[in-house]
Amino acid sequence: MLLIRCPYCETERPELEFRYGGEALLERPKDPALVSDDAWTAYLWTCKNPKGPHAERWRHVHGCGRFFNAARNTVSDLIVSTWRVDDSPPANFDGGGA
Amino acid sequence: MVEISRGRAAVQMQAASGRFVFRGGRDAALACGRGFGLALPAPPLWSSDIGDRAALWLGPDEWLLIANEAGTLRVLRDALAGMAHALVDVSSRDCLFDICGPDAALLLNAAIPLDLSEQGFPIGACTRTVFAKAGATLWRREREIFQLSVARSHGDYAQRLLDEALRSMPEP
Ligand SMILES: [Zn+2]
Repeated sequence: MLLIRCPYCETERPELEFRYGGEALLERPKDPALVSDDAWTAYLWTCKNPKGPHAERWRHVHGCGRFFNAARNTVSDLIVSTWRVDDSPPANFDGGGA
Repeated sequence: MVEISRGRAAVQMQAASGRFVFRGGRDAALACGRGFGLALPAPPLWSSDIGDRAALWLGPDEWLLIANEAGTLRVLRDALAGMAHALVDVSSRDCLFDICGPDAALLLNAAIPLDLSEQGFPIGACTRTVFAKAGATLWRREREIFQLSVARSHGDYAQRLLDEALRSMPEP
């Protein structure tokens, strides 16, 4: 079982308490009505799905209930770091490749 | 109160008590604590209590308030008048179990995947977690007394699992 550090509870907790929440660091278009269908579709559905470091949202659903961000390596499953949604990603994190 | 025990652990089913979930920002939390007569704890996973009332940290803006006095809800509503907040009476929502005895943590670890040693989960610690497949709230009130609560609809499930865990407890 993975131990995941919740940045709000400030402790490592078993993965059973967490829910995966999709890709992180996406910027929602300010006015969805003004973007093209293709751009909106890309925002909603087109994910990076990289092999390696990936910025992800996770939710401590059976804990504090909070969404937070995590940098996880999709090959090794190693969670390098987690941070609160209003904090910046770690300086050396490349954001999940192109 | 029904108590079932084996070896050095016991499970006591408790009657429902007054329980309220409060959510709000810093100012509302201060006002709520003043109205409640007990400051809401700021450190994560921590509780404060005085007499038989308690405030348990559940999240950065969320606390479980426990108090049996009639009128608690009205007092809190008055203290929070005009402030953005959520306050919900959940007294009838939960089944409460007191898990007692020197092996209480061992018993709970049959279904809770947390470090419940005195270092990992000291007296006063509280958290939401899972009890096997059921969402649960756990609070260490004393060294050998944990309060476990699950949703009423999961009460029978939790109770049967506790019974099963008790049966596999070592005899002293
Ligand atoms: Zn948490």
